[in-house]
Amino acid sequence: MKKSLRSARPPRSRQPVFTLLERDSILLWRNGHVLVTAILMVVMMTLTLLLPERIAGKPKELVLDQLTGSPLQSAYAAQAKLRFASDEAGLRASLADDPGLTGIILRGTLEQPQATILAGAHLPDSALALLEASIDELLRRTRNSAAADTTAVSATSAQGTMPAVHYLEAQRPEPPLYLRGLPVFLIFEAGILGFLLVAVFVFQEKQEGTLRAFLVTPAKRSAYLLSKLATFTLLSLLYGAGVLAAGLLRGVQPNLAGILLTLTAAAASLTLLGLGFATFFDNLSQWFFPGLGVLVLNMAPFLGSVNPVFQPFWLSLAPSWPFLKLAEHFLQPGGQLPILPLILAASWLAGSAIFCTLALRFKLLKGAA
Amino acid sequence: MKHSIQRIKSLIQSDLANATRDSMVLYILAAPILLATIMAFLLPALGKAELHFAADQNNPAIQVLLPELERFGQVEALESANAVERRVHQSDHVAGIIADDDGRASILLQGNEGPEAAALMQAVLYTAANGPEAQYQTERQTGTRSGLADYARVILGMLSVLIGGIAAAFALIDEKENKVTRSYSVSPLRGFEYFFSRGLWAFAVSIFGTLAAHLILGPAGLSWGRLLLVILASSTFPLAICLLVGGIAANQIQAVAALKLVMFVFLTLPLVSLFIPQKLEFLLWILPNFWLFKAFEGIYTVNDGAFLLNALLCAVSGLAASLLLAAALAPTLTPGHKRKANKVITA
Repeated sequence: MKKSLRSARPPRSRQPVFTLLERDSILLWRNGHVLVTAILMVVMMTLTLLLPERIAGKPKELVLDQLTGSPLQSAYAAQAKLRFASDEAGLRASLADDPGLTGIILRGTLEQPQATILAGAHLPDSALALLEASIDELLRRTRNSAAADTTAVSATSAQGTMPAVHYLEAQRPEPPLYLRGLPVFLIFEAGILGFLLVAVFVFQEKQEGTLRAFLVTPAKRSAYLLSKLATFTLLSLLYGAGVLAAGLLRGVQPNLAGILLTLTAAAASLTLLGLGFATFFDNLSQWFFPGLGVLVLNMAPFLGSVNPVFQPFWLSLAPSWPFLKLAEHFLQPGGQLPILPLILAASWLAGSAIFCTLALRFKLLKGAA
Repeated sequence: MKHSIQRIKSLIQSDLANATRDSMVLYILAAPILLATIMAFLLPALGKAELHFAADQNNPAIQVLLPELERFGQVEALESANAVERRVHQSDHVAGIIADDDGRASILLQGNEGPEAAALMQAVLYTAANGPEAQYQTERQTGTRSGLADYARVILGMLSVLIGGIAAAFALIDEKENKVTRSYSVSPLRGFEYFFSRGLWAFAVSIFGTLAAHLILGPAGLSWGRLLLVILASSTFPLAICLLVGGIAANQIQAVAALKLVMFVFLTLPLVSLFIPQKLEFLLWILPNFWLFKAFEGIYTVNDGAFLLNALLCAVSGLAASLLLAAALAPTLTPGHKRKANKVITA
């Protein structure tokens, strides 16, 4: 009799996790989070499909070619890469209208040119030096082309004296705009979903008294943690996978296993961090500003994505940084796996798990099994 | 009329009292100031970002180039070509300078930089080695601004308008959760007075945020007239946001979901217009916040002559959106609404 009763009872350690997982999923649906995520996913998929490969913006330099014979204007006027002004008054008027424009006035001869750069006060000296190097290259090519008596501007005569370029890995083409945006979206939008939602859920449970009820059940803290982790990681994964599918339709050829694993790890890490962080606050009002502050700091590596030369050391301290680097690598595979981001990502995942476990043990679920 | 004004004033005073008690609303009010201050420090650093080089300093051919290379960016002098190779392999964007087999300086890249980067590096190294091709002089222009800083100002302006709506929305949701809206049904407060007071409170918060952000981050010499015109044109937006978030959500938890969607539509979608082809821009015309974005662009970025039209479209579309939302959500929000309608929303 006793034996049959024992065998009829389900294993205690498995059931609570699935019960909690089911409950969290229903709450996600009932509070509109699934619907909102689905709408956002559709919008992001549409953007991924509609974004062009390149932004065909206007050049940020305006050139006045007053060299003898205006050789630069003759050679480059038809190309979209350079804009030319007709006179100095027109150039200065254009600079006044567009504060981001830089003016270049070339005087003298092609062999002995003088260049005046009209630049904004906000431009650093190094940017001006780069502009001078670019103008030098333009003058060299035009001079060599004129010397070779060809009408088309040719770089080959200049190439023989130019420094060689070597590559450590196979050269990859410049990624199109939608491909550059994908890792940013996956890590800063799909990846952080759990941080915000888990806090919202914790405060709702506190408000409704569900947490107190949980404390008197035989369910373990691990069941609570795992159900939250699974719910929000899965939602993030589905969200990200939808947008990734749009990228695949556009011809992106990622390392699929790698990118999905990176997204899962990022979502799990941020969910655990968010759950642990939420335990230090009593309600949503108290959490709101500090929580958003953490999210904003987490987004700092986005600045490095937008401006690749901006890579100060402190960007790598953000939790999202290693996952962003891994996502960039797996979305355009071909190079070596970046080791430092891999180590940091694993560290953040492990650290978040430890932090969350301790926070649940000593704060939120103190007294639970 | 006198009583109407008195009732509106009482409701706004009540909102103000709640705001000082509720830490979230206080944080929301402080957010534009904090964000503007952070941007004021961060934007100059972003603008001064330089190229990075890693050079093999023990090679004589490269050693003589180091002082010249420092004009173009930051130079890390390393002890060998192998050290340079390891440095280029790291995750940031660094160009290596090493010697070829024939002793000439050459460039080492990782492979993910793109062809334009390689061409620029070649031009830089050639100029560093051989000197400039022209005599250069620089004339610094006053009154110029960085494009990145300009769009940061535009975003902050939009965010301040959004924040006004969010502050009012949370006040509205607080009333819903505490069933205060039901008590209005036994008060003489009328529907339009309720909406007007909500809108005025939200507008006041957004004005505060917009002006604070502009004072901290706005460049000197900008047209205050244009800014005030945009503030006026955007006066109905905070109410529309308040109605959208506060009307749909029954509690703070649902409000977070609604806010996620509203923030995306309000802030992100207009920014997309910078990246999509111009022929597709018409898809965004239906969004009132797109015209608000264009109006702010007219203050902080290029003067393209369409500022007044954009401000007008912003005002008209914002008003239309507010009226539509008020009409759609009035049964659930105005005093004296039916309990059955309320149940549907809070289920």
